[in-house]
Amino acid sequence: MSALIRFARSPEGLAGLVILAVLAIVAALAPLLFPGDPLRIAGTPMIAPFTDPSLPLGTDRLGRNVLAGLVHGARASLIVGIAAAIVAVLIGSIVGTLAGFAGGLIDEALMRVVDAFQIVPGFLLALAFVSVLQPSLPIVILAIALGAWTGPARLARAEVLSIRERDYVASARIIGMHPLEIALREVLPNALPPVLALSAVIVAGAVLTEAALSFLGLGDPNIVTWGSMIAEGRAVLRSAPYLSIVPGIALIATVIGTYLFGEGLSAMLSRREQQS
Amino acid sequence: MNSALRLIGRRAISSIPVLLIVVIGTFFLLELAPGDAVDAYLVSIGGGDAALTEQLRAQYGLDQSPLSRLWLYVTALLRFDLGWSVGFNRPISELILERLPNTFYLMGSATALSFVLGTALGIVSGARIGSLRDRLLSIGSLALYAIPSFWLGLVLSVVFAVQLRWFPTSGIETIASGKEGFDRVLDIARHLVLPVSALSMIYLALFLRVMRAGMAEIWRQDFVRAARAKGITRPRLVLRHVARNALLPVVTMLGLQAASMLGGSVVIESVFAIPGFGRLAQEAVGLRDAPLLMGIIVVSAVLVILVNMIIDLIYAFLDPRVGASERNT
Amino acid sequence: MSELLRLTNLSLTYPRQTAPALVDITLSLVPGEKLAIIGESGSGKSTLARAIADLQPSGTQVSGEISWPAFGRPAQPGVDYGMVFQDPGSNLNPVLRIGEQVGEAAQRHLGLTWRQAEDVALDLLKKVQIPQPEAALRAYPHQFSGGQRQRIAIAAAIAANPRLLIADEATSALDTLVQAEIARLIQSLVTSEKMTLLFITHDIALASQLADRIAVMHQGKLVEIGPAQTLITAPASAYTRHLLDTYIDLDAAPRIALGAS
Repeated sequence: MSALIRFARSPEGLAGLVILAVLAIVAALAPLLFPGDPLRIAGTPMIAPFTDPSLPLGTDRLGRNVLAGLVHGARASLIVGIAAAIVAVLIGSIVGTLAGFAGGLIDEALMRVVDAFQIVPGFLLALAFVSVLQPSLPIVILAIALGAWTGPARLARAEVLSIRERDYVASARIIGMHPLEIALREVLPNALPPVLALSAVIVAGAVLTEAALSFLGLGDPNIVTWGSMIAEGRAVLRSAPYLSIVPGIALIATVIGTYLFGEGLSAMLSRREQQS
Repeated sequence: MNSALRLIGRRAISSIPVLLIVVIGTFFLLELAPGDAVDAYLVSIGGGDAALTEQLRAQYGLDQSPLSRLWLYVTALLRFDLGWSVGFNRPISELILERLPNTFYLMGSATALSFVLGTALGIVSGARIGSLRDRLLSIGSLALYAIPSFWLGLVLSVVFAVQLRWFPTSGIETIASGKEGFDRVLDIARHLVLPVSALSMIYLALFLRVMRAGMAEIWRQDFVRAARAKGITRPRLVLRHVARNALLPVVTMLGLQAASMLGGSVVIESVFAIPGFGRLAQEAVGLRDAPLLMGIIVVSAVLVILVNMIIDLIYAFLDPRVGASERNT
Repeated sequence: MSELLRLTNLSLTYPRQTAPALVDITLSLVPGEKLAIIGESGSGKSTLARAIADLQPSGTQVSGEISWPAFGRPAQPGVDYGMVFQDPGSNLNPVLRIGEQVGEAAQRHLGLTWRQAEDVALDLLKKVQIPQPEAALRAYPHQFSGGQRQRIAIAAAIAANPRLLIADEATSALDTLVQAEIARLIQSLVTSEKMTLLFITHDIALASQLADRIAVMHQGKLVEIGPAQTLITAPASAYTRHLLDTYIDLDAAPRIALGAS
């Protein structure tokens, strides 16, 4: 309960929560607000925003409803962002905990693998991954997660190493708990808080990476994303720059909201008194 | 100095297994692709018969088993031979070497700009934690951090290149202009202003935040209190004591961001049509040229390792405690 | 001779705290004397030292008065007083050379060039008995032991010839033998440089051997203050008596002889 109060006390966390809540609601209601495929032709091309009441933000160069695209794009961004973070944290936590717990050669080998994933630029890795397999939403999520799991892995390992030697682990060993059980029941729950705080940063990064991939035409071609909208708008950048600008603002808002929420989470999970 | 060189040596040796993992991993990843560069080539020339396909495959060595191809690749790597690009019809090493300088100009400038400006603003912010300017800079840096670099590139392009015509919209230099020496440098610089600005903003925000956070930590240390009790001037306290220590995590962050910036150059080079290394990656994807993509990834990994070695040296220079455990003092 | 320092009804509350850390402290410091402030953890003794040195965090509420009659103006850190802290592990800047850290107060307050400040630093390092002082000037803190770092910190604190040395638990984090060395060093320096000494400690034995006067603090209040020997042998307050009963062993030989070294 006190944790929730700590969260409520941080203005950043609350602001972030509000932004994310609005986005989540909009994304969830997308099929209700704009039923049907947002990529279908809704009207004549290049209608300006605020001129047609049925098309509040106008249409793009192919005649698609811009507002529908925005709203459906929110779904894609949030789904990819959160899913990629979950996968990255999952893989990273398991690998990191294993490495920290096992020690010795297994630890060394796993850390070399982490190093390998870390020195290849995440975006290049995602590029290669998406180009090899058909670009669909799950593949994009996996591609992004492959670049992002090293952070949680290192963090989890560091936490495990510091917790491993503590008393309650020793007592668990004495009563005969199996090492794996100790890892899952005692160590992992305590190692998780800093990893969770890192998750917000991962979500923000994933949203941006997905946008960049779609922008380059490497995202899922069957759904509308803010990145693909920006890419589409590029063709008419001189005459209708707003087509590219508006989805970008949506991206900025999403990333800011995510990051602020993460700060709130950090405030909630940190037990240290702030002193100037 | 010796301990720093030993550090580099150790880093180099431990990098070899990591590089090997990268090579093997990427190789087998690209194996998963349906079709290879020959298929793509055949599509681009409008199809071909089975005999042509077989001949091309044999010519490019694509008909052998994965393991033997991997072995050939690794041994060729040791000779700095990255193979042949079917899509460009040129040796990959030559292609990459040709494109790298442009990316170096872009990334080098972006790194310098974001580091210097980000650190300076971070010091301004961290000099008085909690002050108005600290809060404003924190909000500003958060906004910058959230802006997608490719979108920023487009916006800058629209405003400064299209509307105001201050800078060119694309390319690294004016084509066939025949400029030499300083004129050419100036020309390239003009072309780089917008892309560098777009690329560096996120990292500027990052360095700002890391510097500020570092300073917040250092302010709490005993030696800062002791320095205050000595009555030294405030600038000296802020710069020589607090910021000088907070510089260390920022330098570390610089190393960690090297890989990220290389990835970021892909989109920026795409937006501004800069013929660089990053753009080459995108082209390789379009051409389904797996060997080229592989070569790009391997070279990227090597570059990141090299950059991290340089950062290690810089860090050892800045922190006298590094390598101290090896000394006999 | 006017008092060096006078505290009148000094009270202090840290930001975001309800209970005050100091309550109505009134005491004065005579030039040349050695005053020890003793008490348990949380008694407010360190808070008092930091309040005198003007090192409290921003947002601290302070009432009452701190005046420096001997100066006739507020005291300047470094030139009027120097301070040594408890933890030798973090009392020195890890990335700066010793010469620079020891000399910087002299450079700042005595109008010296950095070259001249280094000469002053060399002198000081010899005074605090650091081995190979010339080499030490160019060395870094991590190359020295805890006791040596504390010596260096003392040298740095007195570089600009301050009249008052404040030692905030300067020996508490050291091994017993090193503690005695550092206490001896402080004593001899204070005598030779003609400084006033205010030292904070929880070690009553040390206080009784080093101080002219002792002040006892408990829960932010000044419980008792008086000449060292009188306070130890015939304490006026019940709390002091209780403190003495718990800590001191009157039969043990003093760890530092008065007037030695």
